[in-house]
Amino acid sequence: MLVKDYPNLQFKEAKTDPTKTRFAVVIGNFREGAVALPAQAISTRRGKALNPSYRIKENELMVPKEVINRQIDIEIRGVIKAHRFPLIEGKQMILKVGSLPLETKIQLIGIHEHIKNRPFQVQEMKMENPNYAKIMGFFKEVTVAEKLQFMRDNRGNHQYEFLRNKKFSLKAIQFLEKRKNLNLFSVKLEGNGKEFTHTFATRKSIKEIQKDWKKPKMAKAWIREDMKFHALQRNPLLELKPDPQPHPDKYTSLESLGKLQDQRMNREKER
Amino acid sequence: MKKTKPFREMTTDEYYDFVWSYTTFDKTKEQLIKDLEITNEELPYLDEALEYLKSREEIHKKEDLPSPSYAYYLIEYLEDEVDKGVPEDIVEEIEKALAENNKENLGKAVERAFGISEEE
Repeated sequence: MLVKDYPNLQFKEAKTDPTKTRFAVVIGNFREGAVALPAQAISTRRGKALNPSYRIKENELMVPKEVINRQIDIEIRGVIKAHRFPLIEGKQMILKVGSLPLETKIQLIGIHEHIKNRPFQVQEMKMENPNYAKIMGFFKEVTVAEKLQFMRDNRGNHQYEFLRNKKFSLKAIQFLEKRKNLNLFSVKLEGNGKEFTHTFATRKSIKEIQKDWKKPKMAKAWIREDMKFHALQRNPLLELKPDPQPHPDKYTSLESLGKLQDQRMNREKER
Repeated sequence: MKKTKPFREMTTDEYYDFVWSYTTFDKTKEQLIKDLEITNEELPYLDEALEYLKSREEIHKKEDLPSPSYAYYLIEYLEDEVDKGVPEDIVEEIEKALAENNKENLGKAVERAFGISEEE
């Protein structure tokens, strides 16, 4: 995003120089309907950061080469300043120029986790935005949802960020397989005029599922039902085994799930 | 702290240990240029940076912040100062191209936005 009047560094705040127009990464639609969003500056340090001998700092991440705005065929260059969290208003955002690839977002999480343990970085972040830790947490959650492809629409857009506070109901469910102590279910969720299918890995029994998944839940509560989410929250770099493919005709209602499961177990016993 | 090797040869910890222990107010300009690897582009801002940072001593004390004399602040100040962001005339070009929905001009203006901010 090209941002007008990007704020000065905290310790330079007292300087009266005008703020600058900068490229910046908007790192999350933090609150629905929020008038201002946190954005981390992209800086070339006047070309210095693009020099191969540039010593990248612990709060910086190089924008990968493949971040290109296809519409206007421009490659985005520079380093993301991962410790900057000023809130930017919609009217300051002049132009959307591209999106970061998932791998870069995961690298950015790594930098956030590192700098939030560095006292001098914390001091600066706290001064600029006291909610910096919440924003980091939100960014991580949305990125993990993207890695899980949770609430990805038919066009390949990740909707979780915008729907996390919307309620969804279980429309249909299908048992897929058991992996160690986890049961894998494909679930069709519907709400807010949309439908998404997701594979949940859970330790819950059928009875617990029937009880806990019966009522509508917010998207942010649904994602927490998936153990894969918790595993990736602990380590976003984790490469998960692909989910099995569901059968389009084998979905059932939540109520019938128990019966089907009983039949399956009986068949297994008979064998 | 004495500088023993160039920044590019330092590990992350070495770099941060250095910038948070090396003090700038007690050094000569020549020493600062050498030790902090201040570039020709950054040099014109050195005096104003030192003056500004010295003016912050009391505020930092009051707010329980590290001393503004630490090299960290001077380096950040200078790097931020030379990075001018996107010049206003290019921002105007981008806004005009957006208003006219002119993708070609928009592409050129954004390209200049990157180019000029590096070369100027």
